[in-house]
Amino acid sequence: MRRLDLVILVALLLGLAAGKAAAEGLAVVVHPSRPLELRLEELSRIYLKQQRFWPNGDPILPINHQARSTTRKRFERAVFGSRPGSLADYWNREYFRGVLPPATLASGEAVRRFVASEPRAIGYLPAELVDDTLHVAARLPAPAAGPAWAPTDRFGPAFAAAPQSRLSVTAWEIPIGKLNHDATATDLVSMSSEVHQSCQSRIWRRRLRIKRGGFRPRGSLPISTGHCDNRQS
Amino acid sequence: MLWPVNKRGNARKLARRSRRGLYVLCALFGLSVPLSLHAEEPSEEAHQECEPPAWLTGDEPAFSFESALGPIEYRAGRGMRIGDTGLNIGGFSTFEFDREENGAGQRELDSVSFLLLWEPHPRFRAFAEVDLDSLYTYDTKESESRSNPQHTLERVYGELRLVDAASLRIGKFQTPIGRWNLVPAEPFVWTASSPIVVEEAFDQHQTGAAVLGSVHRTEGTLRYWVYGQATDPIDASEDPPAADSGVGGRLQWDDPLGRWSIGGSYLAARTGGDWSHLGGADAALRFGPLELTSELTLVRGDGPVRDVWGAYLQGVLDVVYGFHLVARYEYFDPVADDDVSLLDAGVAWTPLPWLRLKADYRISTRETDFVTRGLNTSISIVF
Repeated sequence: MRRLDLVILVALLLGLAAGKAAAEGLAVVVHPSRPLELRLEELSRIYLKQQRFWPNGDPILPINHQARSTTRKRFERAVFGSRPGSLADYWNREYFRGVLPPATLASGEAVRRFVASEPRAIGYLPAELVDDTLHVAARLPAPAAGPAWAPTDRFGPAFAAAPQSRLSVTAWEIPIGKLNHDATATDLVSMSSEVHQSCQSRIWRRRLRIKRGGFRPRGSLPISTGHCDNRQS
Repeated sequence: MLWPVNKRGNARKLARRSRRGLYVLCALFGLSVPLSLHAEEPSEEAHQECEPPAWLTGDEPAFSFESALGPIEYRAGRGMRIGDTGLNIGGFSTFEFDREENGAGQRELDSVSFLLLWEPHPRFRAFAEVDLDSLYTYDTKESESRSNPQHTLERVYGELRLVDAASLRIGKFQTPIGRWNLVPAEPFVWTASSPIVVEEAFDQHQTGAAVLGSVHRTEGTLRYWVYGQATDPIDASEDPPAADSGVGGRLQWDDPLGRWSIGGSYLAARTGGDWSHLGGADAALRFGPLELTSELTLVRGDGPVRDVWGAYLQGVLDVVYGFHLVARYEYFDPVADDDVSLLDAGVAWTPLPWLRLKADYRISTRETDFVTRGLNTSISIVF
């Protein structure tokens, strides 16, 4: 009996620990040589390309995840708190002005590697992917459930800036046009097992739903790993 | 004697079971925390399954291939990026169907506009908009079609970005007055017809130099434009005649959360020796799915064409799935005793980020040369 109690208690502790890890949300990361604490409105301006330069005058190179990734959606909900589609409208209008959205990289690992090697870059990652090669400039809380267009508490206590680090200045070197292509090619191999696991999980959940007679959208594709390729974070 | 003992034993068992049940409940609650944090994932996934393919929405390249210049890729609604040159080529076009109350109507492929962006360095960019105009018009009342293609250089400028607070722009650019004229093209606005005051009260473009920038503060962002035109305008409109020269400025304050914004504009322009002075105020308010925009423009000068004032208030309600309800009230007074009030109401649907369908009906207190009553519809694409 006592063993059973112990098992239950361990499960309780594990559950709470997992809950804490998931609640850590996203970390906004920059090169470790850049001592920055960013507020949410600054992040918003940077990712809308309204603020283009770091305080020392270097151009900012914001890096996005792929549009369909969960990490990107969480980031946009936390930073912009906007209704789906309003960002697309914003970038349409900017397109008329000759401004294109930030570059995207294919995976969290690609973002981690690029930001760690590029002092002008800024990216965001699930908190558990952050290591010593990056400086955390801000932490974003895991988004609460609710309507996607509900205004977020942008100045609330859940948003905390990270500790200070050092500063460096570098010249512009890397053509933006190369980013997406190179990173995609490099990271496909290293990320393949993660993608496979993610797909397997999604396929399993979808099978379960269909078996239960649940949601099956009109025109949805048959279950295949290929359908899953675009969706990893 | 046995009964109390059994009762005590049962009580102990019950207590143990209760405690275990409590642990189980606590464990389930503990495990449910991460599950609840991901509770939206199934719906997000379901949403993803409902979404069109990423190549169709422009989230991923529709096609790409290697070239000597680097990877060339095209994204729907974002243009074609030419390798590592920093060059991006795209554009937009609109097909219009209009039906006036007096029976006149037309189907028109008014223009195809090409947007050329060259950004070889983060501190410099060159930008141009080239329009192919009057491509095809079919008059439904007269049953005749016209086509008189011609090209217009709508905008062309080079911009040097020094810091966020200061950029230098030289060339032909949109006149920074009010809200509408900053991005006036069909695919990026919510009605098939434009406010009269924006079309009639001032020149939509300036040919000259501008200094513009943004000053960011925690309380908000201050944007400014200072510009001047000293040369003959490039590809200027003839009706009404474009100003020969001018000088103007604009200030705009944006709330950091993007909930509201206010602005003010001034332009002094000289046309054929006559000076006119324009003053304008504008505001935008966003509250959840509702967006309100308003502009007031007042022009006073020596030339009668420039002696006008007008205002509009527009509301756009984001209903669902890119479907918007739109209403706009306008007042326009070109000269004394010749004023007109208009109401436009309709719908706009954006099924894909690069595709917008609009239909709105306009009623007015009277009809003039520049005010027609009736139905305006359009299909706009961005490529």
